[in-house]
Amino acid sequence: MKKIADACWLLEKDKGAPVKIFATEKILKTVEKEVFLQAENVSLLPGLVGDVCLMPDTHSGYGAPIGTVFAMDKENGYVCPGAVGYDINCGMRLITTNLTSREIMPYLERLVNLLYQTIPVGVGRGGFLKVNQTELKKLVEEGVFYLVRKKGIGWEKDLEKIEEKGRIGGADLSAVSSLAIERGISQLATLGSGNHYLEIQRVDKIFDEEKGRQWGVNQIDQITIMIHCGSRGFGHQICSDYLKIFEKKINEYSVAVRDRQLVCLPISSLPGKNYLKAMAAAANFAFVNREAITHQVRQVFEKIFNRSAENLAMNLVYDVCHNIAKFEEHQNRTVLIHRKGATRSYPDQPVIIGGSMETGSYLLVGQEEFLGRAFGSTAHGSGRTMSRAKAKKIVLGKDLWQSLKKKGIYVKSASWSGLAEEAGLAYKDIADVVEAISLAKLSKPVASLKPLGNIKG
Amino acid sequence: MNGITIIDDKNIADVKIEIVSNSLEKLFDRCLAAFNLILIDKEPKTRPKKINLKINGKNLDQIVFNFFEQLIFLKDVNHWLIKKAKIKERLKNQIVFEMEYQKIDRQTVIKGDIKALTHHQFQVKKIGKRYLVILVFDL
Repeated sequence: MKKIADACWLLEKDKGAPVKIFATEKILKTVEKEVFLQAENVSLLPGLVGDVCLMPDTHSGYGAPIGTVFAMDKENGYVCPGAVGYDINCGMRLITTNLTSREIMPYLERLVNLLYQTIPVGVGRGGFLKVNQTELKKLVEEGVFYLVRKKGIGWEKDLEKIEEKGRIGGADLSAVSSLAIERGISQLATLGSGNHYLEIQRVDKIFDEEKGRQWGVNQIDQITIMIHCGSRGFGHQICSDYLKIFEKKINEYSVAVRDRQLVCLPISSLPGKNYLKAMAAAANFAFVNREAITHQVRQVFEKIFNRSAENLAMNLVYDVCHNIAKFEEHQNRTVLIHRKGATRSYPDQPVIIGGSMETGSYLLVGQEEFLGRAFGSTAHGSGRTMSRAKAKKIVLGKDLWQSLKKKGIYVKSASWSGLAEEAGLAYKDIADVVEAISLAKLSKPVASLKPLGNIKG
Repeated sequence: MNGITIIDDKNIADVKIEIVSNSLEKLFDRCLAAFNLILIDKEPKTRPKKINLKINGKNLDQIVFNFFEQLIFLKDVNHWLIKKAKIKERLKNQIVFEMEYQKIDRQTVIKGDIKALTHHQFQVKKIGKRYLVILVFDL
């Protein structure tokens, strides 16, 4: 490993594209060897443009590490479903309110309980948004536009605050299998499980008052709501389907990869084009999902506080993807950016980075001068440091729940086991990750947010 | 659990499992048991029902993979927990299973929702009479 700049290292190796790791020395010491092996495999993919970048929250994944960003030439490059991930457009959303923690505390448990009753988490519960295949087609091809303008769910002004305005172009439901469609229909407007959550937070610190004000983050102890979820079974099935399709075709295109999860085909190939159509459909499904959940969150707050969501100023700060492949312009060239567990960080764009239930989250901003560092990308979370199985051996879910309650954090979870897996000790310290992001000049902190209430599957 | 090992410290990417058996029947028994071991904390109280399901695949690799995909699909779409899967018939490129299932109800407590069987490190091997499956579930 060779240090090439502040919080930026080059992985020394013989072959493939350069691999840059954005991390402080402290974080680098915690990164598993498997990450470097996986990054090396990624660097050997055909068609890469520029560096393979690893974000400060990187950890090992399937094929490519979580926290990987790379670019492929639009004409001659390849598309790699495994480097987008199973949960296509898993992403983050941040909503402000004009409530303070003093105002919310008397209602917190009631609020969290009602959110838990209203928004389906885990397995076995469908969402409020019942659609048939015809309507699913409209939702995944037209995205949040259709949800807001035709179904009357969500706010028109939210559209400007969603990456790509809640619609990635080129989505086509005919590129999606019937298995994925059925899974999708049954899970629309549901939160999911694992590390997915809905969190009520308070603003703990404001680092950039002007930017905060511009985005509606105005004061310490202001209440915000964060949503972390993705494309549910719809996206998972699409990834699985196309990994199988790509594996069958790989010899036809004379592609060799070290890990079968990194299977890739030319962007210009028929399966490559179909994957991008299906991936866009999954991405739009996730945008619609988060907007539908926001609609329900607003309704719950209205019920508890007896005021309209407009009156509560429940405005969207931003909604951003962290598992995606998109055509973007970088250094006067159109490339297909793959982000797996990484967030776009464009000039003046809000960046939302979720930490664990115990440590809190951050709101950051992209800067013009940072664009060239990692294809306008930054981290997405705090990054796991241990497996779920190991976390459950160390932490008992019920004990964790008690300890969070003593700290004033009220959690409603579908299982003690699921809660234990998400304990703070299973993740890097978010403050360390944000320090690395700042030093590496990927994004700039605007505010830190601390949890008060949380629902998860 | 007999023939099922959760490998917990070599894989941060969700959960890695190794399954071994001395017969094809036991292999699928244990695959189902491994799936439910990760998925379920507390079982449903609904009445069990039976159904026959065909799992296709050009080789055992594909059949095992598609078997798990079917379990995930039935969980997500029908909200079924498959309790038993007995091989009823073996055909070319297909195994027919007699499956016993229960509908997931409000009493059911899910431990870890399995969203996909990944291709990451996925292997199905037959060494002599012994079957070995290594897999990673995405939770």
